[in-house]
Amino acid sequence: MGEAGAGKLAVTFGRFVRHKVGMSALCVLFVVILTAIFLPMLWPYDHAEITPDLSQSPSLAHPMGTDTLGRDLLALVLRGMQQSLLIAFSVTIIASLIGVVLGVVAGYFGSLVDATVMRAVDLVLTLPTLALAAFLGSLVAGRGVSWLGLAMVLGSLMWTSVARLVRGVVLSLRELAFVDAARVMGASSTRIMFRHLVPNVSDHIVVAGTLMFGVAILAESSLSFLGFGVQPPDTSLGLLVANAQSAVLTRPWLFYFPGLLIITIVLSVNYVGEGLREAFNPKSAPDNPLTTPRRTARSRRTGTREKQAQASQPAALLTVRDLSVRFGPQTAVKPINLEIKPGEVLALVGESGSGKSLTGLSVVGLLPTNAVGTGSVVFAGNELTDLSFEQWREYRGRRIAMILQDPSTTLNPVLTIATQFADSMRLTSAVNRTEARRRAAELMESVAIKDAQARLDQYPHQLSGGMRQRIAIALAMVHDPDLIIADEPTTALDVTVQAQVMATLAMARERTGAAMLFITHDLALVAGIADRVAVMYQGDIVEEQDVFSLFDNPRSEYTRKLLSLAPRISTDSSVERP
Amino acid sequence: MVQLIFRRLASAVLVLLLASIVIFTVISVSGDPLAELRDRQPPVPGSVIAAEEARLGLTDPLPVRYLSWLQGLVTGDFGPSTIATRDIGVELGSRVGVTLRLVILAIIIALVLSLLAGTVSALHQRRWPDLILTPSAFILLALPSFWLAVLLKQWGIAFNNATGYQTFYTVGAVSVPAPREFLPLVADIAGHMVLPTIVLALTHFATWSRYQRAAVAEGLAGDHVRFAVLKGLSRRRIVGSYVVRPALIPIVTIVALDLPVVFSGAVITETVFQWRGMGGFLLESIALRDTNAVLAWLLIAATAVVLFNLIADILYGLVDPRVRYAKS
Amino acid sequence: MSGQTRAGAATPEPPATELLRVTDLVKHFRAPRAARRRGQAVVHALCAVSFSVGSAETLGIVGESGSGKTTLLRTILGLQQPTSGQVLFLGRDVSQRKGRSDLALQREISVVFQDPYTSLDPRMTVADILAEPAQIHGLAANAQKARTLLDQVRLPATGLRKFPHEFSGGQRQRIAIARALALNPKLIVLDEPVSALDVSVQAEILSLLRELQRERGVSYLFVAHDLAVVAEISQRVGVMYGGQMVELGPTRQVITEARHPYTRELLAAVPVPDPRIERAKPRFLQRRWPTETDNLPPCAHGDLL
Repeated sequence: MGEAGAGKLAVTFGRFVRHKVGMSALCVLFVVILTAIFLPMLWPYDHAEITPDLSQSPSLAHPMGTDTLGRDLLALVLRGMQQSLLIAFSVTIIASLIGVVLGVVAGYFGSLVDATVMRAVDLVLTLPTLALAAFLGSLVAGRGVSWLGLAMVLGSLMWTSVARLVRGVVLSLRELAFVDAARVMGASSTRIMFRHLVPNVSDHIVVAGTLMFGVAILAESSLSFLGFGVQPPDTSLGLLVANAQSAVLTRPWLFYFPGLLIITIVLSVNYVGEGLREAFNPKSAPDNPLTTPRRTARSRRTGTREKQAQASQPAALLTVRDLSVRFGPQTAVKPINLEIKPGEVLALVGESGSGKSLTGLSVVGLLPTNAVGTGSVVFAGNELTDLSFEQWREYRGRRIAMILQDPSTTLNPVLTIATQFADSMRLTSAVNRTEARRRAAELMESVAIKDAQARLDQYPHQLSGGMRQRIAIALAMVHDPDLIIADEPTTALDVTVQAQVMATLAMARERTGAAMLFITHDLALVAGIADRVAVMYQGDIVEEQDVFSLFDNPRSEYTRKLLSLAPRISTDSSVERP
Repeated sequence: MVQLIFRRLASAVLVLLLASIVIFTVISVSGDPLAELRDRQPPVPGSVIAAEEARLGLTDPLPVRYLSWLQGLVTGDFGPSTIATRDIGVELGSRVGVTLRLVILAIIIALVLSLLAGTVSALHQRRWPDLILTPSAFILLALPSFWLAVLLKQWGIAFNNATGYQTFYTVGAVSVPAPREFLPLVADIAGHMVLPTIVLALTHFATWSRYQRAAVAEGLAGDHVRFAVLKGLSRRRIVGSYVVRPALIPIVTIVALDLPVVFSGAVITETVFQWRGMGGFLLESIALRDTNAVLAWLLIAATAVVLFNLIADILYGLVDPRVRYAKS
Repeated sequence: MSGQTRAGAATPEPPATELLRVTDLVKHFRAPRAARRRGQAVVHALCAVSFSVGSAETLGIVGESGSGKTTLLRTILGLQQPTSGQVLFLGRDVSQRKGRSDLALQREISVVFQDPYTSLDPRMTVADILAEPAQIHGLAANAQKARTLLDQVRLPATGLRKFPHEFSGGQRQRIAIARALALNPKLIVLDEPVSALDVSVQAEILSLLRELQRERGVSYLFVAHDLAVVAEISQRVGVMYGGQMVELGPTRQVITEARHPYTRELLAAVPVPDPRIERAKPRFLQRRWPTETDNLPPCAHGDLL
């Protein structure tokens, strides 16, 4: 597996090296570990050695000072670090092993096995680990068992977090087709678990293991602090802090040095974990639609263009000029121009990656955070680019409405349908509850939803996909917008549901006389609804014509290809097309 | 909803019963309450040990001992202590309240703060409030709670010494002797709670605020938030009902999972501030090898955790209609 | 009448040599708690489904989500046990097999799943992915064999050292097809193999599948929600609704002379890439299916002729 995982590992490693905080934390950790291993060999004092220098503050001979018995604190701290690191490391290994095996087995087999393991997890999770560990630790310590006994006690109590995590990931992996594919091939459960599942959870295991190392250090030092962990004459960082409790004000070095060392170690471990997490699973800049997207300087010159647009295109409802979208150095949408007249339906057709959805998002000012848009978008004579969130609210919902692709995620899962309608209605005027419900029911009936009254009090998860999408359409219609942007509104739906949603959309649009930008990959859908069609390919508009001319005489090679390949039900299926 | 609560209650009782078996087995098998007696020098006569064994019921086989222990529990008897004069139930009972008020207050404060900080952090990701809150949470996560407790206690003492006036109470859960009248008593207890609560709340604030930040950040990138923005809703409405409310579901889970850790933290905090709470009782019992007392402690803590989990389940139902409707 | 549409044996053109025969396949799932309280004990996912697949034939099965097509497919693949009924493959009942009990049989049936992003283990190289079937069956796997497989799906041998994420969706689906071919199966089950792909890529994959069938005489059970795609590649088409095979017959016959009202509605709903035809269609505001048939008893859809 090592060889097979190499490609991805190399990429991950590269990402981690570039993660500044994680990388510096790893360096700190390395220094700490190397110091703990090698410095005691060179250091003249032993941790148990009593020198004549009692309670000395830090000096050249004793860089961390000495304690009340005259022991060198640096030697003590080094010994403490060795103990803490060794125990935490063993705890991590033990707990991860138990957790991974139980988690994978529970997640893969499911049902009764899963229920049993999860009950066991629940049980362990009802017990305060520290208390049980203190009891068991005191026994272990009483029998003079070394660090390993302590590590086993802590490890056997700390596996639950890894087990839960691994089980959760395996549960979702199990649904993926490659697991089914392996089963169909005849792979044994063991093979599937250890050849397919474990490598795929390894990211999570590494991150969880790293973080557990930090938790284990805290647990061990807490236990030693309470007196049930490492026992004198040996020492640990927690024990050193415990001994220095009353010395904070008088001999502060005894308290601060061991404490700060624990903090340094745990902090570095946590930052390494964070770095690993981001290296395994890099997130682009977080999306936050509540902020105003970045734009380049070039687009800020649009103040004058606004007037030009007004003067030259009085008839257009929406004018898009030189719109482009870039992700860093990569251009996703080349400078394009579009125009929609009032009441007109413009279809934007393209395959995945053609830039059609980004174009739609640019128009409503919701580009992803890491995208940079340029150019101008003029709506009803007003420049829309560079509007603030509050300025946008004059348009969004009221004059420009948008319908998104996946109806299972667009509605708020925790609010009733009636509340989601009321939220929209209250934008323009104070509407009381009865009035809001009446209008919501009306709107729902207009999108062919039966039993609208009963549906009002339901939550989205109680409705079918087609019904949710029709409700999204009804929500878009609350304020009779001038422009509707529909981004693949039927892609997630079955064919007959798609037909129904398309009919609903067409009706709703005709009733309000709104213009529409209809974004899709499906030319067949376009045929029924669009007045004009723009075809996008690799970020550029390759062709724009009225719908009849486009289907009769496609001008570009690409459109011709799309048309010839579009699946259609021909009564003569034996004939193969070129 | 009522049905949901009943079903949860039934499963809570079951979990407790199972927990009691596990705790009893682990503690009885691993700990010998008479170890200290046996090791005493000069050796204690065998008859004394046999008498003690009989008093503590150690002669019976394990299942019988469990059943008789369980029988005792029902009548409020936690079993004999290794110290003949000690009544486990009475002593523990007087300490539960002390610990619970610390635990509950700390949970509430940590929860409220982490909801606020996590949300603010996520709404301003990689900008100034986040650039302060995130590293602070990381540092707090790395702070050993016992170290923080000792630090605050000693600083409190130093502050009191420097000002010559007792601003901070650093020892005990209440003054000795305690004030007689009600209001001064409440004020005195509250005063004693300040520093321990800060310690306990801060450690959990760090964890929970990280989770809340992640949940809100994920929610923000969700389609339903984008749709709400496109509907033209106000920032306030979106943040409140479309971002934070769905994000409450994960945080409730995390807090429920963390409850035993809060109890563990309370043990440490109480020890440092020398409270006569459950923490002190546990440590004394462990030192005395008083297995029945440790058992009783673990059972009480487990009961508290199960009860808090029940509350979390009910909160779930309130927050998430999917839970409410799927289960009833 | 209904019996005729439900039983594959009664269709006009029975396949010459029979490879797979499914007889009265029934699958019940335990109903969700809410439904059980209303007195409904089970969900009828499959209601006595019967059909057969001949050698070197493509049988297409169309159905929307919830029609039972996924359950049917998982049962045939042995990922689920049927409640009753038989799945005969070359005359042997394969429906009761469990895990690895019948490895020899598993060589004869392979599968290509819908989503090329999840059907290949992201942690394995293409070489490992293509070698896995042989490894599981204890056969020799070598690089030459993997190269041949890649060549058959028109991918260059340079891809062997790469990982799935380095390929486009269409290329990944080719790799999945190559893996399905690895043990020279007689039947390949294709579960929505092109629905996650762009139109231009769809056409390439479909034509690759047709070529492979010509070259190797392999049979396909092609399951999809898109009637247009299914009709393009299948000699015979079955339409599933509510756990039943409501229509089954030669492709042309199903399209031109659909007998079941659901098939007719489905045909009407498929958009046509021609503005004149599309605009002349009546508006499709209320579906008869399932709205008006919601209250039918389970397994009664097939009788609605």
